[in-house]
Amino acid sequence: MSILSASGPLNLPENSVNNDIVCKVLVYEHDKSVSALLKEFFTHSNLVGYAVRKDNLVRILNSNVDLGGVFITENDSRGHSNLGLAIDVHKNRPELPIFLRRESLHHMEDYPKELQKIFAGFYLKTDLSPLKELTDTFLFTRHYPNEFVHEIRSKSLEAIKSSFKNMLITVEPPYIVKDKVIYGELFSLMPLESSWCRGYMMLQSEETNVLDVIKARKTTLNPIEPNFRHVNSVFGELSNMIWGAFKNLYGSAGIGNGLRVEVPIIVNHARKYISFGSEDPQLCLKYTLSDQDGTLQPIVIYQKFIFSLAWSPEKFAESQKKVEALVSTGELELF
Amino acid sequence: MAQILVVDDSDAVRSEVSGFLSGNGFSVKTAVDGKDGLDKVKGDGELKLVFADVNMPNMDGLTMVEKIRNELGNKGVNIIMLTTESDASMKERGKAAGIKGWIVKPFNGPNVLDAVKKMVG
Repeated sequence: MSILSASGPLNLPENSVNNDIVCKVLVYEHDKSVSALLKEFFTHSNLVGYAVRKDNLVRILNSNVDLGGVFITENDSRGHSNLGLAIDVHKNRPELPIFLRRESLHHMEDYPKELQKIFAGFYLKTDLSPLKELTDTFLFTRHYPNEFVHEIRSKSLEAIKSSFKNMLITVEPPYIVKDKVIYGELFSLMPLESSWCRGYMMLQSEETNVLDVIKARKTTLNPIEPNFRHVNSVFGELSNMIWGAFKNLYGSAGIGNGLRVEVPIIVNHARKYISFGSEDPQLCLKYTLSDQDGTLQPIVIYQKFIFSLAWSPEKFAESQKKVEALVSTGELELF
Repeated sequence: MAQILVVDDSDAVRSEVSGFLSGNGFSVKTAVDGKDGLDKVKGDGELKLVFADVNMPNMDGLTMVEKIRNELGNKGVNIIMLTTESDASMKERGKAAGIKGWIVKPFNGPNVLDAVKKMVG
């Protein structure tokens, strides 16, 4: 991957489309030689960096809901401290690990303990070697089997195509997200469970754009006066179809030996914040549905998978062997 | 004109399936869950075919089918499940209750139209 310039909502580049799961990070780095070293590190680490400046870091942070972390320098190009900026980033998004480039010290003991806690770790211009372990510890903490990601993306696309007619649909490469911010006004939550995982699928989008598509008769609904209830209905059935596809792919046999762990889901509407009680990154797929005539605003759908209750990907391959045949949809099976 | 009942808690599915069938010359009624569907089947002796979802609030589709068969017998009503489910044990339960077919969503109208025409005469 590379370091791209950032101005607002960040999209993953098309050329990063492959089976690798990537992660979006913001990079505030004024030293071009370090930027070059980071770029090389990102290329080998499935990170997509977006270059920001001191004066736009917080704004760009606040215009994105799907980030993984922030790289920041200890001082700016004039030698002024960036600690205040790092504290702002932490206050805004405590979920995002901050990786600090120190000027010279090989430790953080000169910082008060409370301040040390806001950083995931540090690296030096002359030594980027800690970054691999840091990103493995704070970002790539979960292995998502390629086959699983491919299958769920394919089935989700099928369901989206069935729900929205005559729309051009693009999907970004799969990526992980540490953010817990909700996108748009509309979201659905479906429990997912198989013999190797348990958690939730969350779909998020904007009501107005979906409503406009319903009005344009590009869904299965044709109401006289479309309103938010029709938006809910379309989103509900989309969630239902993806849930059904997941169940058909991976079964519904529960994981574990009878002990069913439950964790409260906390939603703060004012902050547009949702927590599933887990710090592990969420797997995210971002779909953009565009009107082929170009008259409607695109619909953006964030699909997040949060396997916060159980996750045993090593059992995934085993479960795949038990799948007898793929289910064909839309066909009438007569009895 | 053959009467068909579409039972699904999703407004989007009811609209899609009933719109497709109406457009192909069938008279279509809808019900919002299994309980509503059972009431409508009981109250309408003209129904020839029922499309029913499985996962619905208040009463699921398979329970609705079993109640229809237990309370009304066959009475000439054919039932096809239209659902995201494809579990073999669910299909067996449906077969035992006398359903005639099973479609895994998403609904593909043209694929099932011929069979529906045969089923409702």
